[in-house]
Amino acid sequence: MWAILCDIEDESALALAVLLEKSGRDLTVLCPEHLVGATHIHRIGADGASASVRLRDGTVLDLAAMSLLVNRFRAVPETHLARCAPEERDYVRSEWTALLASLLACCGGPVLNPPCSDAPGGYPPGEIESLHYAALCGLPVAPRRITEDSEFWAAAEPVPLSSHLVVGDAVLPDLPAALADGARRLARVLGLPLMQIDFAADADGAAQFDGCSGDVEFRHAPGPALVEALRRIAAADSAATEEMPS
Amino acid sequence: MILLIGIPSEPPLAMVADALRRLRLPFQLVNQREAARHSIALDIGPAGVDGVLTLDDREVVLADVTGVYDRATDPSVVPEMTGLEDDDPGALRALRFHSLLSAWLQLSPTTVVNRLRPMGTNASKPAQAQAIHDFFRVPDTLVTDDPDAARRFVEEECAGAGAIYKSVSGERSIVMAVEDDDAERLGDLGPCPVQFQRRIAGTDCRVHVVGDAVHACLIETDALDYRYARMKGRADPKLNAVELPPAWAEACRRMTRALGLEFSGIDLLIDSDGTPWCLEVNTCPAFSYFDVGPGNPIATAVARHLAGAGRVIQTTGPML
Repeated sequence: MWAILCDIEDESALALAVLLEKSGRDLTVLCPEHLVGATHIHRIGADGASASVRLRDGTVLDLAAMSLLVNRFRAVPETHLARCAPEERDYVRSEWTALLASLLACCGGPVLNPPCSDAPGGYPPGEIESLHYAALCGLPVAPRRITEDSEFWAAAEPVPLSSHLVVGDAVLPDLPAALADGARRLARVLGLPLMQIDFAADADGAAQFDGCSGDVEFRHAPGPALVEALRRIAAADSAATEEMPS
Repeated sequence: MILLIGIPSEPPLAMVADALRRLRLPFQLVNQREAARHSIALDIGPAGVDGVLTLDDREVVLADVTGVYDRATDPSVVPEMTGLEDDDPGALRALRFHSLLSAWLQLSPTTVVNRLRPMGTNASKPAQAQAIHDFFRVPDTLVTDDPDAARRFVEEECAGAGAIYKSVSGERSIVMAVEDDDAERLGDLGPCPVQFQRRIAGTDCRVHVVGDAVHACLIETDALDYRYARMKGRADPKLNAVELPPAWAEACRRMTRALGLEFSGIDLLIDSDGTPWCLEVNTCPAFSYFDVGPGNPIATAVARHLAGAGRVIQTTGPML
């Protein structure tokens, strides 16, 4: 089973859900409200970690049986926090965030993107960090100087050129080989197997790196190619699991 | 050049500064209380990020920095910032200075003790326990919002040993024993999950790993959480430096590296069979409380690590 964890108004993720269901995929769409409203039993011990989640409708989610999780978790829902005293809300938010970061790591298959302890939805790279590693990965980065007194971006507003998704080893839609290779390397360096990369046009119309994020817009990628790229990630993980010695 | 970042009077930072002076290693202090007099310029180009830090009238080329000890506190709580409006130009500039310096620290190829990303690994105790599990035993743990599951764990699975509870995140992180009269309170679970653990009887052992150097001490206390012994009306803990068995020391080093840290504070508990259990890894250890040996060996190890010392095996006391 595959799953998508996303907000109810996350149109991009819901478009992916429609695409996957049309392709015949066994899919569950989970909202953060479902998760924090559920009953959780998360264990860690001599045998490793396990997680069982019983939703309010009685459905039990077996995370170990999930062969792929598209993780779009952004925040603990305010509707849940409203049940708590105002002075307790920040603490309750921290506790749920910490639980979900650990829980999502118990999925049997790959989690796109993998949770971090302090960011259950996956690592959010900073803008300077993105520029730095993009340059080191061979992507064209416009030189700039940033100080505490200057605006972050160059004075000239970048003209958006194109947006692409890195999905495992696939870059969708296609990019010239050098840019595609740089995009794949950047995604690996940042630990984002699912990453959007944006390019802007310089004065000569050439592509310049303009940013990247794990919070992708799925509609940038052609549907069939996106489904196939996700299938490959799940299959590669499954094959790797099978090859592990018992 | 070595940089120390934070409030100069903060004990860990002050102790590392003293150690650097003793070792005659030059360093530059980035005093957060003087952020208004500091500036930073980051240049982004084909080779990545480089730049210049200006402290009063002294320029530090960032590429020349060989080691950084980052004890920066939240810049908004620095005394000079309190009482300022959110949109105060000076406050905004100081925040931005700190933000850019912090961004550079995450990218710099130099030794940074410690970077923010790995420091975040103890924001979720169960997530960190999953990583610890590759190196040490971890106590049986249940994180739940289900009163019945919690009750079964406490009353059945932890029968005889007892159970403790603590926060799941790094907030309000005080260890408490589950007492008989807590049974009714288990019914209050629901809006907020709680972490329960089987209680392990034994001796606390705090280990600090700095690069390859390992410093350990046993903690003699009758308090459940020795950090809060005095608050709970117990006697102050007694610390005794020890040398860990080589296999344990190596596991501590490997675990520290696996978490992406240069410096860690590892809470071990040694049970009556002599088996070590790992309770937690502190990713920004305030080590001053534990650095009681002659010559402050932990601060000295941090100073040497910042200076690029190679593999150093420290002997700090009797073999366990």
